[in-house]
Amino acid sequence: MTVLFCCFLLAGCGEPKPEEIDFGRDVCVYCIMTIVQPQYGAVLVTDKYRSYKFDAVECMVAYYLEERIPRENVHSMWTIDFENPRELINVEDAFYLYTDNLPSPMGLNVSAYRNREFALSMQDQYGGEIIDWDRVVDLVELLWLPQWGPMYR
Amino acid sequence: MKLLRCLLFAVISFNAYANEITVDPEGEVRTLTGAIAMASEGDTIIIKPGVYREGPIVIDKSLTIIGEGYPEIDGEEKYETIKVTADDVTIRGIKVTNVGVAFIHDNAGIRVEDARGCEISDNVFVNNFFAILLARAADCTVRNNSIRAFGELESYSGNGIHLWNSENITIENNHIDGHRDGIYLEFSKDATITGNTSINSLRYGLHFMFSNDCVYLRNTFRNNSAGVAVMYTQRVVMTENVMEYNWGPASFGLLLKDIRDSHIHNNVFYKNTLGIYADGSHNARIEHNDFIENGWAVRIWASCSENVFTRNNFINNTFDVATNSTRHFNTFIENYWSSYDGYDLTGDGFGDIPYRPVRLFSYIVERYPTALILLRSQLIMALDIAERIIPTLTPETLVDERPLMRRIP
Repeated sequence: MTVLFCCFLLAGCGEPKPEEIDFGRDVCVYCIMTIVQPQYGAVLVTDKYRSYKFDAVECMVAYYLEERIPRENVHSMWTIDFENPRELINVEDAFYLYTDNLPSPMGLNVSAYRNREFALSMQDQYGGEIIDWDRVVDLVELLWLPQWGPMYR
Repeated sequence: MKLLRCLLFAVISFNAYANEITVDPEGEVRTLTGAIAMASEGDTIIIKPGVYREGPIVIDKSLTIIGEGYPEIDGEEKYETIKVTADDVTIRGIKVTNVGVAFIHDNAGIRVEDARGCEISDNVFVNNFFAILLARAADCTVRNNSIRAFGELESYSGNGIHLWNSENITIENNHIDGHRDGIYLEFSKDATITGNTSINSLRYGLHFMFSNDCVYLRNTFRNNSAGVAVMYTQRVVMTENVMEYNWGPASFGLLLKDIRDSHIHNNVFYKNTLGIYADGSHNARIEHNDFIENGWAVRIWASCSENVFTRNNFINNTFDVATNSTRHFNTFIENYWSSYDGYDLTGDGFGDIPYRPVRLFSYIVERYPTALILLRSQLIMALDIAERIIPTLTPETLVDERPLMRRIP
C-alpha cells in the first residue's frame, strides 16, 4: 500500500512545466496588462513549479534580467509560438523574427516561431532579421530596458 | 443677394472642377472599387443605400466618400474592408460591418496607412475585428463614429480606434462599445482625445503605450474591465474625464505605469475597484479630482515619487490610500477626506491635526489579500484607531498635514 502511495506521489512530480496562459484573464506580472494577444506571451517557470506569465517575451526577459526572481530559481522560460497561438515552446528552441513591421505588445517587435520555414516565410513578408534567444536577451538588455526600464526607476 | 449669387456661382464652379460619381446597386456604377478606379484626385463619390460586398477596397487617391443612408460595406467575416493609402481622404456616413478576425494581420474596418489629412466621421462600425486603424498617419480627424463590437473574448476582439506610429490625430465624440481596448495609442504623439464615450471594453477604455504629449479631456469610461491605462509615457494631460463602474478583480479607473510629468485634474473616479493605481509614476500633479465610493481611491506603489495630490475630494471610499511600503516620496496636501474626524478649532478651514489616509488594515491587505474578509470586524477598527494615534506600520510621511474641513465644490 505504502509503495503504491509513493508511486502516486512520484507520478505527480516530474519536471516543472509551464502553466497555460488564460488569455483575457491572466495579467502580466511585469507590466500589469491583461494578456490578450494569443500570438504573443511568455511563461517563466521556477524550480518550485510556479509559473509567472507575461504578455510578451520582452517583459519576461526584463523580469529575468532585473532578477525579480533569483537566477538560480529559474527553471525554464517559454514563449508562445506565433504560428500556433496559445502553444508554448521552450525559448531556446524557438526562432525569432525581429522586425518593426510586426509590432509586439510591448514594443520590442519580436515574434517567436517553432518552425524555421514559417519564420522565414514571415520574414519574406515582413522583413527584418531572424535571431536566436541570446540575441533577444541582448536586445532587451541593450535596447528595450534602457528606453523603458531603469529610465523610470 | 449679390453675395448669394456669388456664393452659388462659386459652388457651381467648384463642382465643375471636382467630379461627382454616384455608386448605386441599381445604377451605372455599382461598386465603390469601380468608382475609385474611374475617379481622379479631388473627386467626390456618393454611395447610395445598399449592401456592398466587394472584397478589400483600396483608396489610393485623394477622394471624398459620402454615404447616403449608411450604405453597408460588408467584410463577410473574411477580410479588411477599406484601406486608405492616399492623403486627404474623407470618409463620411458609411456603415462598415463584419471585418474578419485574423491572427497575423490586424484587419480593420477602415485602415489608414502612410497618409496624412484624413477625416473619418459620422460612420457606423458593427462587428469588426478592428474598427479604425491608423498606422503612420498624421493630421487626421476621427469624429462622431459609432463603434460596436460583438467579440466576446478579448483575445478575439481588436481595438475600436487604434493608432500606431501616428501624430497629430484628433479623436472626438466617438462612441465605442465592447472592443478589446476602446481607444489604443502606441508610439503616437500629439493626439487630442475629447468627448468620447468608451464602454464595456474587454480590457481598457483608453490605453496609451509609449505615446508622449497627448491630451485627453471630457471623456467617459464606464464599465470597462479597466478605465484608462497610461503606460511608458510622458507629459500626458488628463482633464474632466469620468471613470466609473470599472469593477472587477484587476480593475481600476486609471493605471499609471512608468510615466512621468503628467497632469491629472478635474476628473471623477466613481465606483471603481481602484480609482488610481500608480506603479512607477513620477512627478504627476493630481488635483481637483473627485474620488467617490471606490474600493481603493488611490493605490500608490513604492516605485512612485514626487507625485502631488492636492485639492482632491476623497468621499466614502473603503480605503483612501494604500501602499506597499513604509517609505514614501509623494505629497498629499490640502485634500478633503470624508473619513477625517478632526476638528478645526482655529477656524482656518483646515483640520487641526493631520490626516493619515493609509489605514493599518489596508497595509495588511496589501500583504495578505485574504485578510479583506475581516474588513468590518471590531478588532480591525480598534487596531486602526490605535495605529492612527501611534503609527507603527503605516508610512509616517504619508500624511495630509492640512486636511480640508469642507468638500471642494
